[in-house]
Amino acid sequence: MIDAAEATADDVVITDVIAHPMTQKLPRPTVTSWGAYDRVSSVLVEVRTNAGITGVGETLGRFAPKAYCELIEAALRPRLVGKPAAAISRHWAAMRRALSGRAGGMLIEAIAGVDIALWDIHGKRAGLPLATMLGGVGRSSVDVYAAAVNWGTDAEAAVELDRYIDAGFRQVKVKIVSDVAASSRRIEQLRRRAGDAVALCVDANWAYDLEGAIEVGAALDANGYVWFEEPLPPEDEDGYRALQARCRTPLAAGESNYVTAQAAPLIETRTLSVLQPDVARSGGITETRRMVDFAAAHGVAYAPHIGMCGIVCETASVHLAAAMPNFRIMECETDGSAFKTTISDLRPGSIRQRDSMVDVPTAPGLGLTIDWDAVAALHPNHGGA
Amino acid sequence: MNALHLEEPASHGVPADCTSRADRIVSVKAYPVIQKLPQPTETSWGRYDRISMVMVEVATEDGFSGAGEVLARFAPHAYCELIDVALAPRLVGQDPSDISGLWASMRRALSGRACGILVEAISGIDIALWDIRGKAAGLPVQALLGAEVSDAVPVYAASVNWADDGAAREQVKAFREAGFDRIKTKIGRSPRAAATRAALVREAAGDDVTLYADANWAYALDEAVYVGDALQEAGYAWFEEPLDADDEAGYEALAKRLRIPLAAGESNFTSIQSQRLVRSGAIGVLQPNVTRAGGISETFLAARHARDHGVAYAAHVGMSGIVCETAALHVAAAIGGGAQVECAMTPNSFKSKIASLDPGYVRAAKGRLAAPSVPGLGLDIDWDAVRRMGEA
Repeated sequence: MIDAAEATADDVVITDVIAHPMTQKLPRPTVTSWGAYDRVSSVLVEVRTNAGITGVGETLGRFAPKAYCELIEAALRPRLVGKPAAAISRHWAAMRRALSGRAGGMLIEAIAGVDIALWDIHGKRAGLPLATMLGGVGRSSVDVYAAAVNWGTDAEAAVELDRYIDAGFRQVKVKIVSDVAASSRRIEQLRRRAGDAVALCVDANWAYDLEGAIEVGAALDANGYVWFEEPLPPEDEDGYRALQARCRTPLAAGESNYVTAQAAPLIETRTLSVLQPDVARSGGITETRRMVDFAAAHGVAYAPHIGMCGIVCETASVHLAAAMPNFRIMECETDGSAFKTTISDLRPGSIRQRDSMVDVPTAPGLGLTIDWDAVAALHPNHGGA
Repeated sequence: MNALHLEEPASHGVPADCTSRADRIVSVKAYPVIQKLPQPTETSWGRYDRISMVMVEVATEDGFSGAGEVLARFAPHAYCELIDVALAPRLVGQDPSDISGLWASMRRALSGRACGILVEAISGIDIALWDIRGKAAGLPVQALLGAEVSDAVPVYAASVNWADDGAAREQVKAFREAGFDRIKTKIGRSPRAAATRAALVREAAGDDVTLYADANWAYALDEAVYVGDALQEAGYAWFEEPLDADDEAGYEALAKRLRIPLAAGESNFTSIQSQRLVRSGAIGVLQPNVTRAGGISETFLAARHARDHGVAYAAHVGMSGIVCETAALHVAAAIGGGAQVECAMTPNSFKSKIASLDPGYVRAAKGRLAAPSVPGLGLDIDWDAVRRMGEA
C-alpha cells in the first residue's frame, strides 16, 4: 500500500474491480408507456487501488444484474488490474475492445460503472470534487425538475402535480401514454392546474407513431410545454426529423443512447433541442462528457437523465451538470428508491432540493461514502427483493 | 421442382404426432461453450487464443427442439445469465411460432437502443425458433423464407491470416486446392505492409481468383484511401471494414474516394444499423452475422433491404459455430442472386464437434455449399458435447 497523500497520479494502481448487484421492490411501481416497473436492479462498481483510495461507479442494469456483474468481472477486470488508475481514456478504449461489434448495450453500461469509479478515484487523489476536476463553468448548485407525474387518474395526477409544486419545483415532468386523446387531455388538464408560473414537459417513452406524435405535439404547442421527450423509438431517426418539421415544442431524447456516434445524427441536424444521456448507461463520465460537448458545439442543451438509477448515477450527473456550459436542467426523481436513499451518507437530490435547486457536493471525487453493508442488504441473493 | 426432402426423420427432434392447436415453449436453456483455438486467429482487432459462444436449446410441449447460437466471444456466462433471467421468462408458455411477437417482447427485456449483448442473446433464441418452425412445418428454413431452389450457395474461403509471407502463400495454395475460386485475406495495421501483402496474395492466387481484403477496423480515413487504391490496383473485389464500424460518415467519405466496393456489417446489431450505409450507397456488400444481428428474422430483413438497394449479401461467419454457418446458408439460399457465405477454413470445434453436420470447411466443394434440405436448420446438436465444452 502506498500513501495516498504522497501519491502521484501514476503511482495509484488498480488492485481490484468488484461488481455489486442490487435489487429492490419499488415503493411505488413506476408506470410508463414502456412498461410497469415494480422491481428494478442496479449495479455498483467498486474499484480498489494500492493507495487505499476506493472509487465507486454505477452501471444501469435494471434487470439481470448478475449478468452485468459477470461481464464486469470476467471481461473488464482483467484489463484494469495492475494498471495506473488515472489513464481513464486508455482504460475506456481497452474496455470497449472487450467485445467486438458496434459500441452499445450492456458492455457500455458496464464500462460506465467502471469509468465513474475511476473518475471518483481521480478526484479523491487530487483532493478535488469531480465538478472541479472536469474544469467546467463552476456552478455550486444546479437547477432540477420534478420527475414525474405518473400516468394515473386525473385526480391522482393532480395530487402529484400539487405535491411537486408545493415542494418548490419550478419545472415538472408529466408521463403520457399511447392513447393520444387521453394524453392530450392530460396535457391540457395539468397546464390549467399548474398555471403559467410552472414549466411543464412530457415524457412519452416511445409511445407513438409519427401521426400520434404530431397530434400530441399540437396539444403541447397549445399548452406551452417546454419539451416533448422520446415521442418515438430512438432508432427512428427519420421519424424524429419528420416530427420536428411539424411540431413547435422542442424535442428531447438521449437516455437510450450508449455512445456519441448514436447521439450525433439528431444533434448534427439540430433535430433535438435537449440531449438527455444517462451517465450510468452512456459510458460514464468520459463518454457522456464527450457527447455533451458535441451537443454544445451544435447549440443543443444538456439535461441529465437519472430515472430509476441510484445515488451514484445521480451524483455523477450533478457534477457533470455543474461543469457543462450547455447544462439546462436535471431530472430530480422523488420515488424514494432505496438505491438513492439507503446506500450512502449523501442524501438524494429529492431531499436536498430547495427552490428547484440541488447543491453540488464539495468533498473530493463524487463526494459521497458508500455504506457497503447497505449495498449487501440489497443483494438479490440476500435481502434484495 | 426442387429436390427438398420433406419427410420428417425422428432424429431431427420432430415428434411423431402433433395437432393443429398452438404449441407452447416449455423450456429455454443456454449453455456456455468454450474452446482453445487450434491455431490462434490474428486480426488487426486483436489476437484470439481462446474463444466462447453460447448454444441455446428451446423445447416445446409438442416435443420439438430448436437449436440456436449466440455470438459471445467472451464472458459467455454473462450471456447465459441474461437469457436465463431476462429472456426465458418471456418465452416459456408462449406459442413458438409467434417469432416476431416474441422478438419484440425480448427486445423489451432491457431499455436503451437495440444493440449489444441483448441482441446477440435474442439472435440465438430467434434461430432456435426458426428451427422449430421449420420442423413443425416439415420444411427447411430456406423454404420457409421463400427459397425456390436448393442450389448450393457460393462460398468464399476465409481467411489468409495476417502472418508471414510464406504462410500466406501456403494458405492461398491450400484454398485453391480445396476448390475455392474466392478467397479473403486479412490485412493489418500498416498501410504499406497491407498493400504489399495484397499484391503478394494476388500474385500467389493468379488472375482467375476473386480476392477480398478484410481490415478489421485497422485504418484512419487517409490510410484507408491508400490501401483501397492498392487493392483496386491488385484487382480485389471488396475492401472490408476499413474503418471503425461506428464511423458511418467515414465510410461515406471513403466510398466517394474509392472505386473498390466497401463491405461491412458484421458489427451491426439489428437491420436498422445497416440502413444508413445501404441507403447512402457507401457499401456494396452487407455482411451481418446471424448470431449477432438479431437472428434469422433481422438478418433476412437486412439482406432483403440490401438487395432492394443493389447491395449484395455476404454472410459473416468467422469464428462462429456450425449453427451460425448453417443458418447463414439458409438465409443466403433464400436471398439468392449473388448472395454468398463466408466459409471459415480455420479448424474450429464449434463447427466440427457439436453437430451431426460437418462444417463448411469439410463439406464445401467447388466453392459451393448447400443449405440442408431437411426440416428446420437441418442439423442435430450433440447436447452432451455442448455441455462438455462448457467446462473447458
